[in-house]
Amino acid sequence: MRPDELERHLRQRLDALVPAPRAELLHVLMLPDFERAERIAEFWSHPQSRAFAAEPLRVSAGLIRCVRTRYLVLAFGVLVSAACAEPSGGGTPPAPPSTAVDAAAEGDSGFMPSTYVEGGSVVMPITFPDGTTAKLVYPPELDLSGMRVQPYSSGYGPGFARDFLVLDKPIDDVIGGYEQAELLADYGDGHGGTVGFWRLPPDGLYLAFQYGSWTVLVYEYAEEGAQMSDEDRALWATNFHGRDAEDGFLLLEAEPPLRLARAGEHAGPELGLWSRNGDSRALSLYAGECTPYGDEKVNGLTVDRESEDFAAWSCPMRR
Amino acid sequence: MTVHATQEPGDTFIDDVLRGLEVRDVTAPHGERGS
Repeated sequence: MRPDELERHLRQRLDALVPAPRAELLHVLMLPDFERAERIAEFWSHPQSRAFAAEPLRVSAGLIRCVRTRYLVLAFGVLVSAACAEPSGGGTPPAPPSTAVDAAAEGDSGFMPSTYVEGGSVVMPITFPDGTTAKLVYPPELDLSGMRVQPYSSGYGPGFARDFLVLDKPIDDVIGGYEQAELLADYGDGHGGTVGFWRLPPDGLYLAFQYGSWTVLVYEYAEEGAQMSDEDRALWATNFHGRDAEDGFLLLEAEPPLRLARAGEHAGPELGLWSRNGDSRALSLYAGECTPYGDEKVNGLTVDRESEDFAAWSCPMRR
Repeated sequence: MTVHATQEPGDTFIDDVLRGLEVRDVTAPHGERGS
């Protein structure tokens, strides 16, 4: 398998993970190189974290070996090249799956996108967190609007990058879903309000924002050496913004020096549609340019399908 | 736009989506048409 193919497979696997494990893996990928090497080695040496990547996805043993091999090679190379660099203070064990996400999947209805019928098909307008809009057109039996919607994106500042866990319920419900939630600090948002910095066991540390009907949690590391500074967190509080779009989807914005990942960039804007029935049915939609990839043709689409439970393709757009 | 889909082994969800889903009227945030 060529490196670019492996990278593509790895990214697809990461994208298909449930939010909390994926977030943890993305944090690893977004770390500075020498920190990443340390975390990668820790990740693969930790049975629980290795299991949450492999088990839900039933990743093939071959792919796991390839990925692990690549990561360990990368880790070794980076460690050698960073041998003279100051150690970063180590990492924290990967977080277990999110209880908040589990609760949302089990119970409330949350956000339900609006639809209309056109020529026997259902039309569902969607809006990505960056403002990209589109219409999903599908036969009624697919019932995509009945799935749970979960926007996703990430943001960057001077020397740090974090991705978001987005939940379709009020912040009080999210925080209240954690039995041992602890408010660690408050940061002024510049408009008379505050943004809480929370410890939410067992999921970790988060800055918590309420935007319209959505709660956006910005991840923070438990390990102090890997954390943003107090000023960095204050920057999120004042320069990170969001609201409900007209169709009710989440819109996110940031003011410099904070910047959100753009469509097509790593950890850029996407929409997840997740089964509410506890099964593995899910779609992840990625805004941005499409690059056909794969060796299978289905209904005119080029599809990459390496197993019976996962497929990736680029959607041709009708305008 | 790129789509990833998962399903239970033996399910037809992926094929149903491949056959049935169409994406229309993509508009980038700055007003350009998407691809």
